[in-house]
Amino acid sequence: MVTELFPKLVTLLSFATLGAAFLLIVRRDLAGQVRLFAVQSLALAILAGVVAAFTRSVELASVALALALLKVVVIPRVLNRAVAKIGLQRAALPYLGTPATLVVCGGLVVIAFYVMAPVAASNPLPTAEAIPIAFAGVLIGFFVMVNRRRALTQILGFLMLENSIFLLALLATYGVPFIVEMGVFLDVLVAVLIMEVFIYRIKENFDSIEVDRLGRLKG
Amino acid sequence: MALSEAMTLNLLLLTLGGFGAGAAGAVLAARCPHVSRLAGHACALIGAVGALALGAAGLAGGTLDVMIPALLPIGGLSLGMDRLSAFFVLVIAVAAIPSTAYAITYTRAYEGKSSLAGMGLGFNAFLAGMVLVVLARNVLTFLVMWEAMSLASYFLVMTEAEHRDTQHAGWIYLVMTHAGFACLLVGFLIMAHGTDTMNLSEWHAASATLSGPMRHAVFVLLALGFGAKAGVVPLHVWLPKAHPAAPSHVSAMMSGVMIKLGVYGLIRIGFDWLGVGASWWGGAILVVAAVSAVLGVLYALVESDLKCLLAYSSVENIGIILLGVGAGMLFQSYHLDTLASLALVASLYHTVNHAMFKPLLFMGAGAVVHATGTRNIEEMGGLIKRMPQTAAYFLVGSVAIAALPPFNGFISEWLMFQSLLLSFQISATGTNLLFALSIAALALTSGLAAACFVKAFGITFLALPRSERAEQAREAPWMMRGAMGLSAVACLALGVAPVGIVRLLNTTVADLTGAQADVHFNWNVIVANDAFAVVSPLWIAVALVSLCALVVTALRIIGANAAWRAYETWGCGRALQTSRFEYTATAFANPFKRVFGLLYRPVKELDIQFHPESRMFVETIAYRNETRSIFEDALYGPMSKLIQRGAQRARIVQSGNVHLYLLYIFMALVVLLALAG
Repeated sequence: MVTELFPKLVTLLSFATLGAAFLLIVRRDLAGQVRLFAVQSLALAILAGVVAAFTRSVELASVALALALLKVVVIPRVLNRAVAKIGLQRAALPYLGTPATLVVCGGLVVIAFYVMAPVAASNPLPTAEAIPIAFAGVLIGFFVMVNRRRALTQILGFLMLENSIFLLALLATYGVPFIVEMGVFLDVLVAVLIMEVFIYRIKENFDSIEVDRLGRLKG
Repeated sequence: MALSEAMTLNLLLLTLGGFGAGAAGAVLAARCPHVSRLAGHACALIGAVGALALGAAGLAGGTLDVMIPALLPIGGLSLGMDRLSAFFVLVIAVAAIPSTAYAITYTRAYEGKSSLAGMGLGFNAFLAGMVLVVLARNVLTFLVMWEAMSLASYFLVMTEAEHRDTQHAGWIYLVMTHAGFACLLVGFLIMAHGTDTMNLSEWHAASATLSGPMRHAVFVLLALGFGAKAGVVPLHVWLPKAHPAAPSHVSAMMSGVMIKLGVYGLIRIGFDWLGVGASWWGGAILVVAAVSAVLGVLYALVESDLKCLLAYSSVENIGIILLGVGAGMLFQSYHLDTLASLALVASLYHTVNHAMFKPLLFMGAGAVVHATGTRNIEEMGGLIKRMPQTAAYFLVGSVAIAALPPFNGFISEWLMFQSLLLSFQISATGTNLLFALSIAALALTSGLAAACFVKAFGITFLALPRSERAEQAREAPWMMRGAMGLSAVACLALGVAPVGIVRLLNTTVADLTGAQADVHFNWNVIVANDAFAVVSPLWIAVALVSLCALVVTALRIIGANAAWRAYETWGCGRALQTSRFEYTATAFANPFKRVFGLLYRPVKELDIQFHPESRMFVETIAYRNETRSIFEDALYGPMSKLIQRGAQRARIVQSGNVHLYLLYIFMALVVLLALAG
């Protein structure tokens, strides 16, 4: 019973993270996007918890807990603070409009399935079926970074990318060693904090956080 | 005598331990420049002595086999020692011992000006890097150590980074050394791919599996890479810039040893890694060597910056050394193995000689520059009265480098001439012509080198001082003089007693060519190639000394009753005798400038401002007589313009837009995945 249910639950939750990613693309206001990121992280934490329960791994359970704490509570709060500071509630200002972005992301999902199908087929774990989904998340996160003009929304892309990499590791090998995972969490937290400060600085100095304008700094 | 591997290993540890302790000591005592300077260079001296013992042990047949997989990826750190490696370790040590001893006092001048911790760290890393390059036994170890050596020397060149000249010199050095490194890297990778092994000692056996074009490609790439380090024409442009900019003990090591590692590499590719090559390889090296020798000395001749002159003279000496290497490769391709050995023996002998007299000259130049505050020999003069010992040592170095007996340069050039002259045993007209031209080039070089060092010594040390600083110059401290004395004695020793070293070199090259050179010794008489030529250095020395004694005695007898009279030099009836009447460096070089005008392309400007009232009175005269470097104008100028233009084109890709960069990464990822899938 449990062994049958487990892969389905995993796939469902993986889809939830991908769905959150797609919604984040559609959503226009920053606060809503941050909330969607929190939702994606929550789904991920639950998924990690499920895998931990299935494999009876204390380590993974604590990783799930840390993940929930960090990405559902701390980072969204930091991001909200940045949003409030900048006072910029709307307009992600992407290069491509929403419909075109959706088409590209749909294409990326297809590529992900095409590329990762052999990988998933050769992986013996029951969770392997969802590997292409996780990889699609990686590509979409990357694409969000490419597509968005504002520094803050780029951070969201980066965080989604990071989430998907975690998911990929979880599905393919039941997570990387505990110490590595903790290190990555610390990295992400520090990165977000630094970026928050930087965005604020850039805004203060240049009166804009459009990354385009950094181009003027080149020689 | 069998040497245990444990002993050579201990010597290696002593060497590296010395350099390591020097580097650590210099950095730890960074707060206290005095201690940092002493610790850094004294420990380096210990390391250099260790290297001397290591090299000697290796030449005596000691081997080494160190393999530490954890230290480097792709094969780990792999060290080994054959006779050739041991010989070059010895060469490094021979130059490093006096230079380091010299540096202990010499670097005092940098206290408070430059970071002595950085200098100590750089110098020790430089020495260690050079030792490890010649001991490296796999591709990655070699390349990493090569790069460590190059970077450490770059930082040493940049010691006085506040000067614009130094920045320019450092930049050119960095570009040239990395262009060379790029060639080496590609060459090594092709070779490793073709022979299917990263292990350098297996290349000789495996090189037969390499296809013809690949062998040629590897040869050209590696020869370019090693040639750039050796400073052969036209890859020599960095030498006359970087060597003068560096502190003198560093110039001594760079000029005396580092460029020789290019020779080491060329010997490796010509006689070891690639096996016996096509005859055009040796021919190409011979031509480049002859051109380097002649052009090097011609440029040295017109140079009035003392250290720059010495740097150009290094180009010349590298040319002489490579004449032997190229000739050896040619002989080998005609299966004249004993002649190949003779050429290599001459080449290696000149290598060790140059590692003795070039540091000696650079140390002398350092002492002079330190005392007078200028590198321009026009502003020196008369230093023999103020710095008699330094002058004596510099004279020894000059005589040795001009290849006059009884010093060491004579023996190696004599051997070189014999090996080139014996080329008549080859019966191919083109090759014979090539050899004939190289002999002519070598002869011309020897003559011009003598003229060049007459100028270097004469204008610097003789006559009256031409500047106030030169007038107030003081003799160098005892430690610096001691270091120079050590080198001078070594030059004399190798000049009068070459037997031992020639024997050692003969066994060394026999490992490479498979045959010993036909050189025999009749006590102190060298007999080359079945009495083709015979020389006895000791008897020459004795004859010279007795001739001098004879002249002195004869003068005493003839002029026994002439009392000593101290008086001004005869001034052709002029009442006033000042340094303005002296022969200058420019004047000395001017005949050569005219004769070789095509090469120097001198730019002459005479600007006379007459007095407004009468043309009989002159207000000012400005005279400029500069030479232009044909290579910088014709080769490097257009090349750098081409690169600039290419870089401008490539800048289109660099929009400065973060999104675009992300897109590049993203597209690369997706495309690669799609291709892999």
